[in-house]
Amino acid sequence: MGASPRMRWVRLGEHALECSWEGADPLAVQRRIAALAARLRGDPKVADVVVSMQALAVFFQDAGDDALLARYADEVRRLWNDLPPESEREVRVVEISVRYGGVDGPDLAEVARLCEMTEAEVIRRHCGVEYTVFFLGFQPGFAYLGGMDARLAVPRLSEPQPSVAAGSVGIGGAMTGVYPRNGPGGWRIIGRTELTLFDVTHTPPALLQPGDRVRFIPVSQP
Amino acid sequence: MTVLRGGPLASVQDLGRHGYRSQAVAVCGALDIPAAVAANRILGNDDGAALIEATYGGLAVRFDVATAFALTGAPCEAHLDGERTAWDMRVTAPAGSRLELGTVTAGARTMLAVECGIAVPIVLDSRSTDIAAGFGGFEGRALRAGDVLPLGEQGPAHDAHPLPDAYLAARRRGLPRVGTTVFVRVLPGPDAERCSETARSQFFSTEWVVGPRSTRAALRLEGPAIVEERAREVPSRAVLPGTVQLPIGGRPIVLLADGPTTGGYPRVATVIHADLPLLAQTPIGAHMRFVRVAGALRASALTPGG
Repeated sequence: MGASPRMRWVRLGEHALECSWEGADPLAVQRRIAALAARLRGDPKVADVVVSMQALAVFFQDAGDDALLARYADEVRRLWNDLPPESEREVRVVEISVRYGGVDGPDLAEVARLCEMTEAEVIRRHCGVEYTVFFLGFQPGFAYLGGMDARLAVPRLSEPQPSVAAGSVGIGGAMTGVYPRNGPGGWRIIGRTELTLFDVTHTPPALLQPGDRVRFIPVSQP
Repeated sequence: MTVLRGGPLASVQDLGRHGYRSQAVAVCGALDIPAAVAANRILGNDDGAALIEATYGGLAVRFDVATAFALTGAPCEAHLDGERTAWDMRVTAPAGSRLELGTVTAGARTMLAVECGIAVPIVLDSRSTDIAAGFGGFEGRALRAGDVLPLGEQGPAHDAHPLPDAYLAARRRGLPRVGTTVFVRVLPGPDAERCSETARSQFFSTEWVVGPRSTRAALRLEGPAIVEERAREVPSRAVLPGTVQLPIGGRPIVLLADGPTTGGYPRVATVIHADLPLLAQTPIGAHMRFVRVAGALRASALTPGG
């Protein structure tokens, strides 16, 4: 990763601290943040940890004054520095089978047009990389996946579609992801999976966790 | 008990679903926690027993067994079998009796607790309804006519406990009404420095109005759009109930318990924990101004009710 990225921290309400990092390699930084989050969850002072884009929010059980937050920020910095290098960290890979196009991917043609390639090429490029779960947000179990082929980046819709089907695979900006549940969505939908992304009877309930790797497998070859 | 009428929005809530923000699950729960705790304490329930939160009144229920209930929070006309019923106290309800709530005269959220609590299934450690995600509470949705809610079976667990100071203080002050101005205390948000001096100045000097698109997820404020030369989107970052966002449209959004766990708008301020119940009780049409609380917190400033 080269020189260690600088950590900054800021108060987030009375009970939380947000640490952020700026580094030359955002993907490596994001993976390291995910590893750090996993470490922090075991701390009894910590009520919750939320990974976000190049940042981490630590929620405490008790409110913290500035001195306490500063001490904890130092602890976070130490844990960050003590993390094993990426090559030594365990990584989980999840394969997601997707039916691309047709009724499952109503926006595939539009994406192909915007990206100036064939639908088959869109599918090939979408399946051709191993993604990293950057963070969860928006809906329970919704994972923002980084590492997508830059040529597939398309803008989000100016108005969300009112009803995107559960399991829909979408592209929004430079990221891709799967909608765990039906509901409104602003991303362009290119396919759909039968996989359950969020299950309240599971621990943890979300299938995808920050730091996990994801590969999309087309159900039928283009 | 059976729901006869849901009113504008009634749902089963408890003190929230904690510990799952990492899974992008909202905390949900009663928006006015002190009022929920008060209602439960009046009945000798656990503080966290599930109860019904009714928004702008309108709720009507039938008690199918002899029980007792308590109403707290936003006051409204309340009749038990046609007779006016008391607020902030334990009221016995014979089997078959009907409770009807009218329109709210101040505040926004009324709590209806029942002896032994509402015994809907626990999902992810809570009985709160996550309406957006469709799980928890009663079938993951708002209550409507015909819904039958199971009640707990054990007798009251506790002797009457004192009501929370925060609830008593709010009662004494009176809840906000349409057209009145509420002053909400905030800490600087993590993105405050990303917003221009002008934007921050406008944010604090404007008297905002709580707009009609406000929900359990967020208050949407109306007023003159804040002019901002800098970029209006920041990387997606963690947000929480009380986070005040400054979106592209220039009108602040105040997140509440059902709101998302991450967001891409600048977080200009964070409402202090003690003022979250005030947000819960600020009705559409009330005015809101934000007041800075010192940015540097010392231990003494963090005591509840401060």
